[in-house]
Amino acid sequence: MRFVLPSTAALDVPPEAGAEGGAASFLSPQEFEALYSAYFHHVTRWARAFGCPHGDIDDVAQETFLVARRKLGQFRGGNAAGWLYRIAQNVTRGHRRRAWLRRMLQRDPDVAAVTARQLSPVEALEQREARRQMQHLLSQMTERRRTTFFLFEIEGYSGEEIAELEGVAVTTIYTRLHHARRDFMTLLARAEGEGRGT
Amino acid sequence: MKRLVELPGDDRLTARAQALIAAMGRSPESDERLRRVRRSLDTPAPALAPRWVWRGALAFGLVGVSAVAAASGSTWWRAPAAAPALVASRAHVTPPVERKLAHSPTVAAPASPPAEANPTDASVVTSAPPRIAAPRVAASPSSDVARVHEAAKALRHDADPERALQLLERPGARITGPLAEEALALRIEASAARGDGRQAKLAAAYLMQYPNGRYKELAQKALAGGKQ
Repeated sequence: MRFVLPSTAALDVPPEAGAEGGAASFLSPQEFEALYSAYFHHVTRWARAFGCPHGDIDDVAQETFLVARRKLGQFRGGNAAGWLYRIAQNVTRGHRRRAWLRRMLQRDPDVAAVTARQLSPVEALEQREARRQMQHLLSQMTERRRTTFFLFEIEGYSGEEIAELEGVAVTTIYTRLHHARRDFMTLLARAEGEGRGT
Repeated sequence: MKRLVELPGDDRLTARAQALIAAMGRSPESDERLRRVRRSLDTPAPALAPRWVWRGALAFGLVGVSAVAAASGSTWWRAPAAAPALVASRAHVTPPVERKLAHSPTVAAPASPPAEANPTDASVVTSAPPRIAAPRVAASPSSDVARVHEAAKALRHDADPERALQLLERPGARITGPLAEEALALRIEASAARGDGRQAKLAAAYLMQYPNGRYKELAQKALAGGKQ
C-alpha cells in the first residue's frame, strides 16, 4: 500500500543548467507534459493535505500548474517535487482565503463524495460523520503538523518523501509526526469524552 | 515509524482513530480528472489587466480625489457643524473662561471661576488656553445608542432602575432616532421597577406614539397597573 513518488530523475535539471542558461530544459512543452502527468495526482493530494475543500482541489491543481508553467524559467532544477509542493502550498493558501464565498454557494463536498460511491444510507451517514469529525480534529492542529500527519497517515507518504517535499531533515518530519499524532489523539480523546458526556 | 492504521487497535481510542483515518481515505486517482484539468490549462483565461495596473489605477484615483478636495478647499471630510441645540448644550457645559482668556486678557474673572483658571495670573493669560476636556456630546446618534444599551444593562443585569432612568432622562438630551421606542419602553420598565408611579403616564405616551409598537403589551400592562 505504500505510496512512492515517481522518479524525478528524468525531470530533474542540474542546478547549473537553470542558473547559467536561464532557459532550462523544462521550458519545452514535452517536459511540461511529463511534469504534469507525473505530479498531477500528487498535487491533488498535497492540496487536500493543506486543507483545501474537496470541491476546490481541481481548481487548486489547475492553478498550481498554471503558476508552474509561468515560472518554469525561474526553476533552477533539482527537487521538482519540492518546487511544485511549495507552489501548491502557496496556491492553496491563497485559494482558502478566497474560498469562503465559493463554499457558501456549493453543496457539502463530503456528501457529494460519499453519494458517488453508492453506499447505503447508514454507511454514507457514518462516513460523512467520520469525515466531519476528522476535519474538525485536523482543523485544530497547527498547519505544519496537520500537513505532515495528513500526508503520512492518510495519503500514505513515507517520512523520507515528506522530508524531500518540505526540504527538511527526515528526523524533523518524524518529530513533527510524533507531536502531530500526540495532538491528534489528545483532541480525539477530548472529543470522545465530550461525546460520551453529552 | 508505523502508521496509525498499522498499529494493533487494542484500545478504544486507537481503534476510533483508525476508523476515522480509514473514513477519510486516500485521494482517488482519475485519468478523466487529469485530462480535464489538463484541457483547462490550455483554455485562455479571461484577459484581466495585471494586478499592478489595478493597484496603480486605485492609487492614482485616491491621489486625484485628495488633490481635487484640497484644491477646492473643501472640508467635506470633517464632521458637520454641530446642530444649534448641540451648540447650546456645549456652551452650557463648557466654562466661558477659555474663550474669554483667548480674546481678552484683561477681562474680569467670572462670578465663580474654576480654581485652575485665574485670569489675573499673567502666565496663564499669555500662554495657550488651558486644555479642557471635551464636553460629552449627548445628542449624537452613537451616544444615544450607547445610552440605551447602558440603560438596558443597568436595568436587566444590575437591577438598577435609578441609573437606567438617569441615562434615559438626561435633561436636554432626549433620545431620538431608531432606539427612541426602546428608550421609552425601558423608561416604562424602569419606572415600574422603581415604583415612582410614572409608568402609567409613560405607557399612555408610548401607546399614543406607537399604537402598534413592539412593546405594546408591556405598555398596556403598565397602564393597567398604574390605574389600579
